Amino acid sequence: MKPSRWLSGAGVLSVGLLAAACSPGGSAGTESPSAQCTATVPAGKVTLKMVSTPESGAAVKAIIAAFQVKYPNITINYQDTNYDDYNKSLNLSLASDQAPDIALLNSVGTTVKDKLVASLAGCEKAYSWDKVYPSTQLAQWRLGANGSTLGSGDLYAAPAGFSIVGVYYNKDKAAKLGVTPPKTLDEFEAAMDKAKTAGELPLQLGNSEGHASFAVQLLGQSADGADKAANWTFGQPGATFDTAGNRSAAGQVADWAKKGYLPAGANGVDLQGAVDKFTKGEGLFFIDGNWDAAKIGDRLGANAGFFAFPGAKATAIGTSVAYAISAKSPNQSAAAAFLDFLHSPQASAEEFKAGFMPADPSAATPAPGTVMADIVAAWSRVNADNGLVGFNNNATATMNDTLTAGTQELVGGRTDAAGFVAAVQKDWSKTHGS
Amino acid sequence: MTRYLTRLSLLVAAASVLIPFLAIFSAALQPESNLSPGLEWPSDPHWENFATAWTSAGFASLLKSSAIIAIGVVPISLVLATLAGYGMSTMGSRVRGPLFALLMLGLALPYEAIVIPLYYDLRSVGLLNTYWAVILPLVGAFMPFGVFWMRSHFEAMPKELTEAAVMDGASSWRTLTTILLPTARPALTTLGLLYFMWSWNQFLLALILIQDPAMRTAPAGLGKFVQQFGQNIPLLSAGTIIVITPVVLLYLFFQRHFVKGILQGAVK
Amino acid sequence: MVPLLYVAPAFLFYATFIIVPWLHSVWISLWDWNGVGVAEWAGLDNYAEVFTEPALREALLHAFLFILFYTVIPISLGLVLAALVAATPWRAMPLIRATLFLPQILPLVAVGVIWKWIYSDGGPLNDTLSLIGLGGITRPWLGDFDWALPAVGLIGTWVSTGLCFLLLLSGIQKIDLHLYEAARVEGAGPLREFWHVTVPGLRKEMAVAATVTVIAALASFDVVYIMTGGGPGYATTVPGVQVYQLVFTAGRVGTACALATVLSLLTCAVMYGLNRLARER
Repeated sequence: MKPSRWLSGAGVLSVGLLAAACSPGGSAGTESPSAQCTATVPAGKVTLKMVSTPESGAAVKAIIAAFQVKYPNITINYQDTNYDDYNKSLNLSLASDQAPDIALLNSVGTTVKDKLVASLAGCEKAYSWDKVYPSTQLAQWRLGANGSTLGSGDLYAAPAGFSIVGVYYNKDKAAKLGVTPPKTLDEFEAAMDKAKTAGELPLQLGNSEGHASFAVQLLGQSADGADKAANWTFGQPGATFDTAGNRSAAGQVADWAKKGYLPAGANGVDLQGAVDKFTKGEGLFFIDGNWDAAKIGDRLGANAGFFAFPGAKATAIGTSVAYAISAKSPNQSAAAAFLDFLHSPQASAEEFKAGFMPADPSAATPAPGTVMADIVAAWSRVNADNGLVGFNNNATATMNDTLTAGTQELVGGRTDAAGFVAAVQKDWSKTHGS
Repeated sequence: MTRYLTRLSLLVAAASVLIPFLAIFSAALQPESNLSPGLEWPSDPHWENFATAWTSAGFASLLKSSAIIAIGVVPISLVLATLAGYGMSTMGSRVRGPLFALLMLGLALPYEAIVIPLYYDLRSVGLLNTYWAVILPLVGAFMPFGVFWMRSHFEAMPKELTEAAVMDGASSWRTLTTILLPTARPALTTLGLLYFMWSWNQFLLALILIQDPAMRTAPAGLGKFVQQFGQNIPLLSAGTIIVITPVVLLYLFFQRHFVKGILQGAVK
Repeated sequence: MVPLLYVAPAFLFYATFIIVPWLHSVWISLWDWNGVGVAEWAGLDNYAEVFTEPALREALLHAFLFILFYTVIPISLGLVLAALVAATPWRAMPLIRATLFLPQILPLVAVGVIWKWIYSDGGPLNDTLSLIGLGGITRPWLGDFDWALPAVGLIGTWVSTGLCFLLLLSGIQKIDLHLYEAARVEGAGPLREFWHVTVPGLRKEMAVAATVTVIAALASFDVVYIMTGGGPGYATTVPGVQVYQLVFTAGRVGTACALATVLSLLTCAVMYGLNRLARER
C-alpha cells in the first residue's frame, strides 16, 4: 500500500470509531440545580475549596480567618489565579471532578447556562439576603430561565464588596489650571482643553487591555441614562448598543485621541502602566476603578482626588465582587454560611481596607481629605441617583475581547464610531439575539 | 577588505544576540523602585531582586515542576526512540514507507491542533492537572524526531558489525544491547539534551493541561509572573534570568552537542 | 515481524497522544460545541466561519506574513553571511557560532518577555533612539497598528537567523571545490560564483532551513501571547492565540478545532511543497 492510501484508511477507521462513540460533550442536563440551603450551619467537620483572583480576593484570607473562628468545624482552602487565566479556566474547573465549592464569578458568561453553579434562591430566602442588600446590588446576579438575561430571576452569586469606576484627578494640577471637579460633560471637556493648552496631558489612559471602554461606557450611559444602559449589559431582549449616547460616546473618544487629549501611545500601555504614569504626574484626569485607590492614594497623597463621572445624574460603572456555589459541591449549606458571612461587620471592614466598597455601608469610614473619602462620597452620590451600571465588558463571554480590539481601533483611528458600535452590537446579538 | 567586512558583520550579528541579555541583566539589578529602567549599568547592583522574584513567583516549585517533567520525558523517550530507530533500520522498505509518512505528519502538526482534544481526553481518564498530562503527550510528540535521529545513527554503523553478530547467532536484542548501544552514546547524549531542553521550555501544553499554576513549567510560570508583575521590570528581568539560567548553563557545558544535534537533526 | 515489535511502543505513544487527538480534533470541528454543554452537528459551518470571520482570517494571514520574518529574511541574511564566512576563515568562529545559536535554546516565553520590555514606551529601544537624535520616531512599538506586526515578526528573525546561517555554512563546506575552480576558469566573478555555484549547491540546506522555520512561523504562539495577546485590534493575532481564546473565552470549541485543522493542513501543504522543491534535479 502507498503511504497516502494507508493514511487515509487509518483516518477513516478512527473517525468511524469516534462517530460511533458519540458526539462531544455530555447529555442535556435536567433541572437547574438549586443549592440546598437552610440557615443552620452543619455541625460536622467540613472542608471547602474556594477560588478567586489576587485582586478580588485581597481581603478573603482575613475574612476566612474570621469565619473559621466563628465556625471552627469549617475549614476553607483558598487558592487564587491571575485574572486572565482565572476567567479562561473557571468553567472547565467547575465542570471537573475537582470543582471548587465556592468560586468568584466575574461575569455570568455561560456559567449559569451550563448549570455549573447552583441557584441561590433557597439561600436568599433562608438568610433574607433580599433585606440585607439593596435590590440593585443583587440584580446583576439574577438570571432569567434562559440562563443569559440578567436583572431578574434566581440569584446565582452573593456580593462581598463593590467596585466603582469614576474619574481620578490630580488636585495639584487642577489647582494650577484653575479647574474644579466638573459637574457637566461640557465642563469636563473644557477642563481637558485647558490642560492641553497649558501643555499638560488631559486624560491618562492605558489601552493595551482595552480600558478606553470605561470612557465609552461612562459617556454613553450618562447620555442615555443608567436604566437603558443596564438593560443592555443585562442582555434584556430588544436592547441595543446602537443608541445616540453610545454613538456619540465612541465618536468623542476617537475625537479625544485625535485632539491629543489621550496619550499618543495609549494602545501600547496597560492599565498598571497608566496608573504609574498618572501617579508620576502625567495627566490631569484618569478614569479607573477603586481597586487602584490604595496605590494612587499612597503615591499622590493629598494630591489624589476622585469624582463620579459628570452628568445630569451621577452614573458610574460598578459591580460586586461576588461568589457563587458550585453545582457539584457536596457542602452547599456550609458554603452558603460563608457567603452570608460576607456582609458581616468583620468582613465588610476587611473589604473596605482592601479598597472595596463594603456590603455593610457603616464599615466605610475613610480618613477625611483622602482619595478614599472622595470615593465613598461618589459611591453614595451614584447610589442616591441609582446610577450604578455593570461593566459592558461582562455583557457576553467575549465582550471584553471585542471591546479591547474595538477601542484600540477607535483610539488608533482605524475605525469610526459607527463601525465600533456595529462590532459591539454584533457580539451582543450572538448571545442575546437581535 | 572583504575579510574585515565579514568579521564586522559577524560581530554585529553576535552583538545583536548578546545585547538583549546584557540589557535584562542590568535591568534585573536596578532598584525595585525604578519600575522602567533604561539602558544603564546600576551604580549599586540590587542582587536581592533575584531573591524577591524567587519567592514572590514561587520559582522553587516551578523549576521543580519543569525538572520533574523533563526527567519524566527524557528516559522514556530515549528508550522508545532507540528501540524504534533500531527497528526502522532493520525493517524492509515496504513497511517502513508508511511508518515514515506517518512520522513526517507528526513533524508538521502544530501543538495547537492537538491540545484541545488532549484536554478533554486526559480529563476523562483523570490525568488532567497531573505531571503525566504533559509528560505523555510530549513523549508522543518527540517520537518523530527521535526515531529519525536514532535510525540514521544505526544506519551509519558499518554493516559488518551487525552481520558478524548475526553469524554468531546473536538475537536482535543482543545485537542492539551489546554491539550497537555502546557506540550510540554520543547520539543518545545529544538527543537526551535536546529532549531535556524542549521539555523544560514547553509552554502551551503546560498552560492548558495543568490548571494548578504551581505545577506548571518554569516558562509557563514566567507567563503568569508577567501578568502579575508586568510593570516591575527589575523583578520581571530577575525572574526571566532565573527561568533561562538552567538551559543556558546546560548549553554552555554541552554546546557542541546542542549545535550538532539541531543542525544535523534538521538535515536528516 | 521482529522489527515491528521494536517499533510498536514508540508508535503506540505517538498514535495515542498525537495522531488520535488530531483526528479527534478534526471530528470536533464538525460540531457546534461550547466545551461543556451539549454539542450540535454543524457540518462545515465552523470552516465557513474560519474563512469569513475577520479575526480568524487575519490570524491565518499573519501566520503566512510571519514566514517573511521567520524564513525569508533569516535565510537571505544567513546565505550572504555564510558565503562571506566560508571564504575567510577566522579563529574566533567557534565563539561566534556558540553565540549566534543561543536564541535557539531559550524558552520563547523568556524571549517574548525580554523583547516586550525592549519595545516598550520607556524601554531601551526608545531610549537609544532618543539618544542618537531620533526622538521623533519613538513610540510604544507594540501598541502601534503599523509597527506591531513587524516588531513581533522581527523576534522570529532574531531567533532563526543564527540557525539558518549555521545550517547553510555547514552546507557550503560540503560543496565540491572543483565547481568553484571550474567557475573561476570560465572567468566568473564572486557574484556569479555565488549565484551559480553556492546557491544551487545549498538547495537541500535551504529547504531544510525553510521547513524548520516555516513550521515555527505558522505555529507561533508563545511570543505573540506574551507580547501583545494579538493586539492592538487584531493587528498581530495568529491562529495559536485565536485557538486559545476561542476555547477558553468564547467557548467555541468546534470553531477552534476547525481553525486548528485548517492550520495543520496548510502546514502539511507547505512542507510537502518545500520537500518537492528540495528533491527537484
